[in-house]
Amino acid sequence: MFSGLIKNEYIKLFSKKKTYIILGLYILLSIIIAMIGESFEKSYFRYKDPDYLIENINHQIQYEKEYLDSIQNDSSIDEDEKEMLLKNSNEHIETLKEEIKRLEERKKTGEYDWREEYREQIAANESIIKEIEAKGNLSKDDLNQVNYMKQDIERLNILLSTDTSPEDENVNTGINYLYNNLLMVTSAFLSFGLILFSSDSVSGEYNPGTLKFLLIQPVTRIKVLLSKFVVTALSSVTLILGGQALFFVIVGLIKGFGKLSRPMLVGQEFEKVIYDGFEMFQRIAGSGEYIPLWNYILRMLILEIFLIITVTAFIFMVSTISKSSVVANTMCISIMLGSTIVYNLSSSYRKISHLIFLNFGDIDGIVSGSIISNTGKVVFTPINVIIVCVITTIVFVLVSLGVFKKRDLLI
Amino acid sequence: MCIIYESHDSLLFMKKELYGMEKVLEVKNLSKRIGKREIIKNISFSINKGEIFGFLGPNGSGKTTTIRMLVDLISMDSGSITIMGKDIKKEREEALSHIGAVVENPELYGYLSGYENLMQIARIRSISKERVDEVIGLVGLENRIKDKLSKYSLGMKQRLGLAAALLSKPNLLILDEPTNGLDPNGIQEIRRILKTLSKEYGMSVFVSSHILGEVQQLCDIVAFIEDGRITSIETMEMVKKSSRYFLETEESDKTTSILENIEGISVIKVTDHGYILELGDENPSHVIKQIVYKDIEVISFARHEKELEERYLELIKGGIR
Repeated sequence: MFSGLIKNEYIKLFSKKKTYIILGLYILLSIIIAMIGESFEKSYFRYKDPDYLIENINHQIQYEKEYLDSIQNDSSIDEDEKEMLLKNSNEHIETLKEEIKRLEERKKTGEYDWREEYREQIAANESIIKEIEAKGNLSKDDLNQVNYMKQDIERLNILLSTDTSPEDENVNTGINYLYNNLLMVTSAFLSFGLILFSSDSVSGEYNPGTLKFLLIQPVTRIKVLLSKFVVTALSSVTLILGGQALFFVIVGLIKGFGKLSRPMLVGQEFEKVIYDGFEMFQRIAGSGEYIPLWNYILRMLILEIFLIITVTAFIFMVSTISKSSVVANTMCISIMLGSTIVYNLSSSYRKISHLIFLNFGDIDGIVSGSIISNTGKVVFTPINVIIVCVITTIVFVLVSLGVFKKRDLLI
Repeated sequence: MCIIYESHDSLLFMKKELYGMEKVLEVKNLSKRIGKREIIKNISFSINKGEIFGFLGPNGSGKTTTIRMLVDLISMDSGSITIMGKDIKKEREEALSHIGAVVENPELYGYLSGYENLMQIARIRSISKERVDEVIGLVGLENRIKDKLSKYSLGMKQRLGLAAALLSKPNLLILDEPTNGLDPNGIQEIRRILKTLSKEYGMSVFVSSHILGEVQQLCDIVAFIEDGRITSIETMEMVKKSSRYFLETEESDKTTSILENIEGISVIKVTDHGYILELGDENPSHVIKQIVYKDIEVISFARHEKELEERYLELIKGGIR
C-alpha cells in the first residue's frame, strides 16, 4: 500500500509541467556554470601565455627605469640612500630581464617545467625556514611564518608526488566543474530551486481539493504525508545530484576529468585576535590537513544531500501548514531571504548560525573550516552540521505529521 | 454497458434474506462545532444493506459536514459513526475500506488522464487493472479515459468521480450531488446505475442532494436535515402516503354542512365545488357514504398523492417555497 502511494506521488510529480520547467532551468544553470568555468580557463591561459607575460614584464621594466631616472634627478635624497635605491632598482631590472629570457626560452621550446618551479619554491621555503630558525628565540610571528612555510612545503610535495600541475586547478575539467557547481548551487540556488520544486507538494492538493480524494482512501494520513515527503526529498536529491553527475561526465568527456588527488586543506583552526579594536578570527598557521580533492568533493556531496533533505523538510512543513501554494512560496522565500539579511547584519545571529540550517549554504566553508572565521563558532564543523540537519529534519517532519493528522479538512 | 459482479455479492444478498437487514452505516448522536457555531446537532440515522438513502436539506443545513465526518475528513465532537461494524474513530482504515465516496465536487488531478486518476486509487487499494476497465465501462467513459482530466466536462468528471468511488466495490457509496452537471440522459444513466447497484447487488447508497425530484426518483428513504438537525426520516412510501382526499360535488352548500358534521376530518381548502379533506383516522368510505346517502351528486373523489416537495416544505423552514 505504501509502495502504491510512493508510485502515485512519483507519477503525479513527473506529470506536472512545472517539474520539467524547473528541470530545464536547472540544466540551463548547469550549462552556465560550465561556461563560467570555460571563460575562467581562457583567462588563465591568457595570463600565463609567455607573450602576455613578456609584455607585462616589459611594462614593469619601463616603470622601473622611469623610477631610476626620477631618483637620479631627485636632490632631496641623500647620496647613500640614493645609491642603495639605485642598486635595488637595477637588480630588480636585471631579474626581470632574466625572467624575459626564461620566457623567451619557454616560447622557443614550448615547455614549461612546473615541477622544477615547485622544487625551487620548496627550496626557497626551506631556506627561509632555516634563516628564521637560525635566529633562535623565535617570536610568535616567526613561528607562524615557519608553520605556514612548512605547510606550503607539504602541499608542494603532495603536488609533486601526485604529479599535479598548476593547470589542474584552473582548467575546466570534470572535477573542477563539479566543485564549482557544488559551490554555486548550494550557496545561491539550492533553496530557491527547492522552494519552486516542492512548496506545492501538500498545499497544491488543497486547491483544488484533490487531497480529500486521497484522504478518503483506507490509508493513514501519516502514510499519505510520509509518501509525499519521501518522494519530494528523494526526487530533489536524485535530480540535483543526477544533474551534477551528468554534467561532470559531459564536461569530463569533453575536457578530461582532471586530477582527483589534488590536495585540499580541511580542518583549519582559528584563533581570536583583536585587530584595530575589532575581534576577529585568524587562521592558525599550519593548522588543518590536506586531503585529496575526491575526498573533499565527497564531503561536499554528503553535506549537500543532508542540506537538500533538511531544506525540503522545512518547505514541506510550511506547505503542510499553509494550505496554499502561494502562501507557502512567499513564506519560504521570506524566511530564507530574511535569514541571509540577518546573518550579514547581526553578529549575535552569526553566533547561533551553526544551529540553523538556513546558514548551511556555504558547504565549501564548512568542509574546509573557513566558515569558523566568519561566524566565530569553532563547533561549525561538518559533523555538527550533519547532526543539526538530522535533528531539524526529524522535528520538521514530526510537526508536519502532527498538524496534518489532526487537521479538519474543510476543502 | 455491463455489470459483472463476483458471486460473493449474490451470497451476501442471500445472507440478507436469511438473516434480515444488515446495518451498513450507523450514525449515533453525532455533533460537530466549527468555531463558535454548532453545525451538526446530535443527529442519528442508519442505512441498511441495499438501501438508497437520500439526505435532503437546504444549503448550509449541514449535509456536506455530515459527509465529511462519515469519511473522516473532519473529526466529530461527539457521537459515533460505524461502517460495517467498524468505528470510524477506532478502526478508521477498516471502516474506510468499505466506503466509496465523492465529497462535494469530484476534484481529481487535472494534469493526469482519467485512467491514471483511477489507477491512483487502484494502487492504494490494490485493485486490479481489469476492475478499473470494468468500472470505466460501467460509467461509459471508454472513449475519453485516456484524455487528461482538465479536458473533461463537469458531467464527465462526475462520471469519473463515480467510477473512482465504485472501484473497490464498496458496501456503502456516498455521493454528494451526484447528478450535478449531467445532462438529462446522464442523470437517467446514473440513476439507473445506482438503482442496479443497490437492488441487484446490495450496495447501499447515501445521496446528498437539494434536487427534490432526484431524491424522489432515486431514494428508498429520505432524511430531512435543517440547521444541523434531522427533522424526520421517512421512507418514500411514507412521504407519498397521504390522508388527503380531493372531493368534487354538484351541490356545494349542502356538502359543506355535511362535511362539517363529520367528526375527525378537517376541510383544508374549498373551491367552488371542490374540497381537500384531511381525514386523519377517518375511513374514506365512511365519508363518501354519508354524502351519497344525502343524494348529493359526487363528481369525483380521489386520494391526493403527496409529492416530496410538499413534505419538504412542511418539514423544512425556509426551504424552497
